[in-house]
Amino acid sequence: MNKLITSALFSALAFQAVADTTDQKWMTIIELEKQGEHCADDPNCFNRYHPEVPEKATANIGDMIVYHTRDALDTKFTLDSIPADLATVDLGLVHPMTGPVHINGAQRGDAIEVEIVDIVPDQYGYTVIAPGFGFLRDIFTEPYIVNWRLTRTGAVSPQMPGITVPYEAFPGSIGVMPGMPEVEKIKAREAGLAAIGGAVLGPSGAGALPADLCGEGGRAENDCLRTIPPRENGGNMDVQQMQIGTRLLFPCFIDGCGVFIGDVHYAQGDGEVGGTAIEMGSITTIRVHKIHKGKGETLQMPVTLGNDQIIDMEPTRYYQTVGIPLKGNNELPPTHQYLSGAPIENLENLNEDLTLAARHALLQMLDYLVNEHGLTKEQAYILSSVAVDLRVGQVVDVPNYIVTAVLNLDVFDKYRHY
Amino acid sequence: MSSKTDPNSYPYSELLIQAINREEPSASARPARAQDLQRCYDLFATDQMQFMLLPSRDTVAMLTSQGSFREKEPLPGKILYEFGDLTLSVRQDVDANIVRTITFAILEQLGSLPNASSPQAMLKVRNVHVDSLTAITTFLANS
Repeated sequence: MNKLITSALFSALAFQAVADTTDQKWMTIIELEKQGEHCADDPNCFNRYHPEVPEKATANIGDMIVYHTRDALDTKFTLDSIPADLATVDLGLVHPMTGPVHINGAQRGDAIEVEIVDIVPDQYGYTVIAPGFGFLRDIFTEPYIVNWRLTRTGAVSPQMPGITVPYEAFPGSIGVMPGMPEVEKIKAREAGLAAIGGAVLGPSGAGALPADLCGEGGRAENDCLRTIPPRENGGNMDVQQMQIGTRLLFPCFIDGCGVFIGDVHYAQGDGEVGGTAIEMGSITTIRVHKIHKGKGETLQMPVTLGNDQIIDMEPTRYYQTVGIPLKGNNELPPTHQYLSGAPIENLENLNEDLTLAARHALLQMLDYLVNEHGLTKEQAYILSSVAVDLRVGQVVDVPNYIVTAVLNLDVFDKYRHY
Repeated sequence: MSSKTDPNSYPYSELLIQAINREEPSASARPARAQDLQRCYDLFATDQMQFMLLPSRDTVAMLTSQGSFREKEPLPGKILYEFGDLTLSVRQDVDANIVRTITFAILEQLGSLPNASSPQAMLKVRNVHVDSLTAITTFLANS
């Protein structure tokens, strides 16, 4: 009898082992995998916006769309990369995007509601200071790189001892393809800004993908938009609140919308002041929940719908500096040089100026990190780029609007280190 | 700019940059290391980099469409100076004063640059930039 019971129990256990949960499937998965070392080798990758960029897949509402994404600079950086490697980044290759994906049923004039379902980080990420780029580009003029080791617990680096940056990943770039009317409108307004010295990169065929459309001699070389600025179609928004679990609304400018993702960030402070976050490749999954018919006509820009994600990102302890629009006499920060600086150059106080207030708050934060935590100024700038949030305090108390810089002190929590 | 795929060019480029900055601090030269020769080619071709320090055989291949670059357009560059198996090349459209200044700085620092060719030997090298030749000739005349 005992033998029989034992045998029956064994059989039941064995049956359970075979019939585990793994074989239960309900998702329809559309996957865009990486091929080759760089975007140029990868048919699922592009780096310019144009309505004729070929769609790489088609998805229905509810399908899980899995994007294998590349780092923002399309590099081959490694854990032992050095500042000299940064100088040889080919700026024509920025940003490699995965997609676009055609959403069945979506038409120009609609809006789509996209949920960020998951982000799997690469094991390696980097943050750099690139000469000529970043909010304090007049102060930080030498190349610098921090190589991060990533897990879903935190990012650490031997170059940033004692610091762990919490995992708060989001797509730095996510969006939809512009239509031709949008391309024409954007080109015109950006050309106007460039004409008075604005920081605008116009269409450029060097390194552009797809090459036959956007590259040198391509049939739309002069109509393919660069990916640096965020625009009505989303793109390089670098908004860290677009976390896993949030939903984004995008206006559709072409039939099928053309959803793309790239430039995924492991973590970033509000402002991304140094010019880069913790940049990485990823496997990012989204799904389109709904098509809002006709809503794209009234949606000026993408919108984020979130729940408690914004709370989860808040630090448990913080240090906050306060900035007002002050500057040195005869100082003209690079952000203001296009305004033909004569009227403001000799002023120490500018009027209702959030950019200068942000600079003021950030400079105080750098002083705090150097003086109180012993960081070098480059380490302080890097940490500020990935873990300091610039926030608007008020825009009413003339002439001194306020921007604060909030440091998440959790990054120094010794219990987080590993 | 050197290449990560060649173990000698980056360390030598650091030496060379130290020498140039010592002689001509206003140059503010910085090292740059590309991931591979193809990236060197692309950055030089698109004028994102104006100088390359690479093994001579690779430099010749890029400037004259040979070897693994035979399918590519020849790069618009000339030789600025040679250091044993390494060749420093420069884009043809770089300002003449800059080419002459860099060449003079190298000539003044030859003692700290192992395997650097003599100025006399450089006059016999083919495909040297005309402003480098001018600088070398002037240097020899004043020596």
